[in-house]
Amino acid sequence: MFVGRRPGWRLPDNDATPEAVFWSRREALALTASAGFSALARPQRSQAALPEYPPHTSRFGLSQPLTAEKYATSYNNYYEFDSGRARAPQAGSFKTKPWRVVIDGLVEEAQSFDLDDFLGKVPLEERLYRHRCVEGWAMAVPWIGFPLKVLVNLARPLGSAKYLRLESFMDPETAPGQKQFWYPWPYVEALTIAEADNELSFLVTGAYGKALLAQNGAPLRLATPWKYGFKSIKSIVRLSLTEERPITFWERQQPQEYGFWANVNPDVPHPRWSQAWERLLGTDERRPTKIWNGYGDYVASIYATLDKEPLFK
Amino acid sequence: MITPWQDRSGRFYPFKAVVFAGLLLPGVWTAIAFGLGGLGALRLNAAIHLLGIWALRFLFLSLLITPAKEILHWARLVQVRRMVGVAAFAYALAHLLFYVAEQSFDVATVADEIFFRGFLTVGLAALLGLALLAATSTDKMMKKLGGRRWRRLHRLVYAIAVVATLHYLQQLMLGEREPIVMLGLLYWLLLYRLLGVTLAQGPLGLFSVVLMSIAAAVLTALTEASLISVASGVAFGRVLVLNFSLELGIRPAWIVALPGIILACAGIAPRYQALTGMKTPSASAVRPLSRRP
Repeated sequence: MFVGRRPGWRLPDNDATPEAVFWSRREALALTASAGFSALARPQRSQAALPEYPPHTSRFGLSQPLTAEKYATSYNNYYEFDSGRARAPQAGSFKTKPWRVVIDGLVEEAQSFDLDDFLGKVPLEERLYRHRCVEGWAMAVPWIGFPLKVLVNLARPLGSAKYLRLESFMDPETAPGQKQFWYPWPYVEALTIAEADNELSFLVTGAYGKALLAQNGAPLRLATPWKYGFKSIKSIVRLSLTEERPITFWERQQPQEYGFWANVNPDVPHPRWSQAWERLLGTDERRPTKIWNGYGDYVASIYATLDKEPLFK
Repeated sequence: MITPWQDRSGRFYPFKAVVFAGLLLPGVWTAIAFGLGGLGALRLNAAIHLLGIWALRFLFLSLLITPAKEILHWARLVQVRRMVGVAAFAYALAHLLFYVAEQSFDVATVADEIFFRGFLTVGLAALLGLALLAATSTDKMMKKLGGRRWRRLHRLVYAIAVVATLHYLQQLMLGEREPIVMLGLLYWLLLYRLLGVTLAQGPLGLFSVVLMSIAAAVLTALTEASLISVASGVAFGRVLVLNFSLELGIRPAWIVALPGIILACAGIAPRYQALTGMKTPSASAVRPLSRRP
């Protein structure tokens, strides 16, 4: 959590959030105030229920405009809910309340709690992050959440813990994609402890001033903006500290194409396509990909001694 | 010059006009959706995919004309074949142009990508093949080459269909249905031709068409199970038995079996009528040639 200090990745006011986004957040808060009726009238009830958070909006910025909400919420990869091509995951009966989260493994104090209870206690903040999918598309999203380390430190990791394993939900009845038994469900991702401790590693519960939608990973997802999007696991139910490096979902499925590190790098192509460029959602624009997705100043030091690892796969 | 709605004698041919309109439709729809924002967050990408899939569908449709003509005893069907084939080329060309647009018309990157990415190289090979066939599709070229040479050249379309399907399959996501369905339909088209020149020495009988459709479906199921089991390590048999459950929706093999069987059933009518010597209006619609002097 920050106290007055402004880290460099928070760009100054001149690149403030577009007004429309700011106001949509205000409206969402107003809706929360009159929650009674919205609970009945709106099927996406969870959309309105987000704890209050300070309007940090203008302190965050990007060197690019935010992606329009309709695109960020409709263009997704969520294989649990569709095969990937349709891009509009139908998560109709997916229940995100109540949502239990467990932290276990090499910790002094394993935890298990209801997410809503926890969100009532942790201060939320808004961050404008770039997001770069390994497929070559990119967006800029105003996430709402809290630093990953806040949650991890709660359980007090042991000195022997070297990795943080994150696991998504498993429920083939509501997520038909999980019936495709050739995929190693549930979705698993992992970070090193240093990566998890980095200030950029962010747990997300909302976006665009509202609670997260199912297709964006409700009710709790990760955002590690210097890595390809598939590292940012959705709908997290379990965080485990481990000594051995976990094998992640895509690493297990297609090790020749996807690795553990998956840091963004324009000069290291995916076997089937170049990573030199990225396409911004909602535009016809193509821009050059930035190494570490533009976040090198904050994360490159993590990897100073890891140069033998395939950091960009 | 014969327009897309005239028959060889220059008379208005409604069926041909309808096919022509049908060939334009996906392109018009794509253009409108593109302009009105109906193609989502990455409209160039969506357009590339749509145009590519329609190119492949029309290519297959052009290959289906001769089998359909033989099964349905519908000789005039051949009159739309060139149009369908040229449409396949037009969609494939638009598919490439939209890819170039998606790369912001950066021709150097496009060339680089086509050279280095196998599936793009394969796609370009199919497009060049289609271009060659489209360029030699005119009456003038047909005359110039001579019937025999022209036919031999245009048999290339089978190789192009194989290459184009490979291009599609190289981007397969495990469990995705349409690429496997297209592969199965390719099996059907190839089998029909293969059996026609070997076993049957001529058009296949209806019963053979049904058997062959089942064979194509079985082949499709076996291919799908092999692809998934090799790529993911799950047991071959486990994927295969999925064909007998609805757990993951209707499997590609069933969809592959269907068109051939439907076609064979439709082929009963003209044969029955020929047998009984009936001359109903529907019979003349099925065999318009017999009506003409």
